[in-house]
Amino acid sequence: MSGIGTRLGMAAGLAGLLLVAACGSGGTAEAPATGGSAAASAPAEKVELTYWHFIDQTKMVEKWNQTHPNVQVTYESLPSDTYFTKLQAAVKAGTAPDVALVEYQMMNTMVAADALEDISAHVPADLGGKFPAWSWQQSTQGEKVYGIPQDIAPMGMYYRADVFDKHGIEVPKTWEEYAAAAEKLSKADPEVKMAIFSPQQAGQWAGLTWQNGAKWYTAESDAWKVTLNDDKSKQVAAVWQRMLDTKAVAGGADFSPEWVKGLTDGTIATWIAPSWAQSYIKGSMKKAEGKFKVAPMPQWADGRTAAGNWGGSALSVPKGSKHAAQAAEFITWLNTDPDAVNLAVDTNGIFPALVSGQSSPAFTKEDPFFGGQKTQEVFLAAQQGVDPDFTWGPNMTTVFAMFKDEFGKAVNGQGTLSDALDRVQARAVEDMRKQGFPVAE
Amino acid sequence: MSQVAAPPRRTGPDGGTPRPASRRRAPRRIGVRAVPYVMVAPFTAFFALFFLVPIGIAVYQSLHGTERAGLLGKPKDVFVGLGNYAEVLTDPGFHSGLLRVLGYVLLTIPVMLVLSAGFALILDSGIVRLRRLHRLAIFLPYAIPVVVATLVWGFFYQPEFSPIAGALRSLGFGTPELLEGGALLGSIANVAVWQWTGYNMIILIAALQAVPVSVYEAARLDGCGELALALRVKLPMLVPAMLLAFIFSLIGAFQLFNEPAVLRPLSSSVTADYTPNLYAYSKAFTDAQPGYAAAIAVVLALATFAFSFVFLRAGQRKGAL
Repeated sequence: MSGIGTRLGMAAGLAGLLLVAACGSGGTAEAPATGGSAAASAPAEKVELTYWHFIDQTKMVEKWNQTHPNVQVTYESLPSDTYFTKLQAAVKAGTAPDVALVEYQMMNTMVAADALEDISAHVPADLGGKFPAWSWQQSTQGEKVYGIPQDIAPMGMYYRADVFDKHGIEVPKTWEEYAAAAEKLSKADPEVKMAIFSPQQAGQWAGLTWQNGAKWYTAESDAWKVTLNDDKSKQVAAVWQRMLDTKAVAGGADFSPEWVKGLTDGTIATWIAPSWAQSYIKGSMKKAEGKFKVAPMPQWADGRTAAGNWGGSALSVPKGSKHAAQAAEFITWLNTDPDAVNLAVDTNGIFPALVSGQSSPAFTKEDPFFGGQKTQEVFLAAQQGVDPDFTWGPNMTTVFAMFKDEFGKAVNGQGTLSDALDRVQARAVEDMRKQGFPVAE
Repeated sequence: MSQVAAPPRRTGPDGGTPRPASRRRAPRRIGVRAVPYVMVAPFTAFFALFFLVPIGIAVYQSLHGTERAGLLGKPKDVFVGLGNYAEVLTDPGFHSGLLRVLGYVLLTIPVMLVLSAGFALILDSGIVRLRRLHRLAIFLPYAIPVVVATLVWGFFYQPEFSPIAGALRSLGFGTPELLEGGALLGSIANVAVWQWTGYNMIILIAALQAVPVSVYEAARLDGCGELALALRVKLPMLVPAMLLAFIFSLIGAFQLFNEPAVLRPLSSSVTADYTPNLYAYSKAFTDAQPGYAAAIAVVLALATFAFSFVFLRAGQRKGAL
């Protein structure tokens, strides 16, 4: 790992020197780049791009650099928790990278912050057809393209098959059955929780409500309609509140050491999570090998196949990049070239947004960790069930923090989840007004 | 000043040669007068650059809000006068943060001052052996970066793996919730007391060492024992230093940020408006409201100033400082 990093660093350093030399010898080298046409990548010109992501991109970048000597990419790894704050600050300071990961949920927020370039001039016109409709819709604004989908995250239910078997619990098909199973489980063994409801995880909450057809934001002609506490969301809140009240589900932080321990030893029985959770489980809960299985999310009505989406991201060109054309070319390659996509699937276990990339044999193979189950088939089916009509608002960093605060209060006994939704709704509208967004009554 | 001013006076008498003194002296005087300004210029420049300019920018920003055209319009600064201030002063989030900080002051400062005064008096009395070692041990937490200290304490507070929780569980007391609800403020206060007691103790020991030995000798000659000496002679003499430590702690408390910011991922009770400083930070960096954040910061600074001023004046009136 460090060897690769060093080599890459040296390569980047050399490329940098060459670039400096090029600029020093001929001051005009910069001029043609501003044209933004295909001529920008004329053989004479060497360009260096920086690329921010939170999952290791070294292999994909190496592959690109080998075949594109004139456009050399340097990958920089950033921690995810402060990522968007940093990216926005970097755009303001003029130090932003040329390519950056932007989660779908943050896309409108970043666009509203004037932090992303419209790259529609630099990408093929038929590009959108290669991705699930919702992911393309969440990366664009009409004709304007602000990102190219990289991965998506349709959700399923990870469950401890051994724990279910031990207590004679059927895999729940509906949320009603899920709640009943939770109560049965906690009666059989009060130490075992069906799940942890984490106030911190607004992205998961979004997926849960998205599955039920909730709408958080609607872009009306001249104003935003905000409905973070609509009936569909309240219905989801009610079932989780019921399980919190009966102590079949506990409130607490996910991704914490306790939570990992609980899922590993089977005192937490399920985790409603997307495809990317597989690699997390494999990495952090090694002792639970062979004990997890994956099922579709429980449904809101019997016989439906709806699913939510939690996470996933597009790659964007932040405002201020001097090489938007080359950056767009790199992103297009990375997210649509079959070899590049397969490499990302192999190395990082991503669920590619590229629909044709989802059928590779490596992607759908049996997984011994999950007892030989072809887990991705569950998520492939789930992807079909993701409601294409879900819109994120322009102030998601704030609203996610509000969910954390208000759900935190509810889990600690200050009112119910439903009350928390009302408070988030009121605060979110207030915040949008303060940020100058038009809000419909 | 006098050193710099010396050369022209000396050259006058012993120079001998008929210099056109009157013509020369005038520009030299200007030069001499400029010297102090030149000398303080680096300080002034940095002071202006890193102190006055940021304050100016903050005040300027606090008078501005954001306007946009359209659903995803670019943010544009617009002048809103004192609008942000009016909102901050009536903002329940700001109020609750301020109240929480006052609660934190009540939890930390008395305990910290009593402990540090106690340690200082004990170590100064000479009844303890290995004084330097003890002093160092009590001071050591201050040398640990606050983020590290908070992470370590966060581990102790966290219910699953914490030895504290483990001990209480094995004694049959159940698992304490030290990171949630009302207990959280006490847990944060504990970190601060642990970290700052030693620092305040050093201030107080220094104050004690500045007292002339003759005062103690006089007291001893008058038949004063060690305990009476500590309580009747040393403690009153410590009051000015304690007032100073109090003011420092008060200012520090108003700026409470690090501990809650570090604990925020571990605890759902640390809200974005947990302390005024954290609130300003969230407004600026997650909520994209720099104007509002600046207004919070200015109000907080004025509040800190007002509190410090009131206590300083009160102390001065009693003749403590």
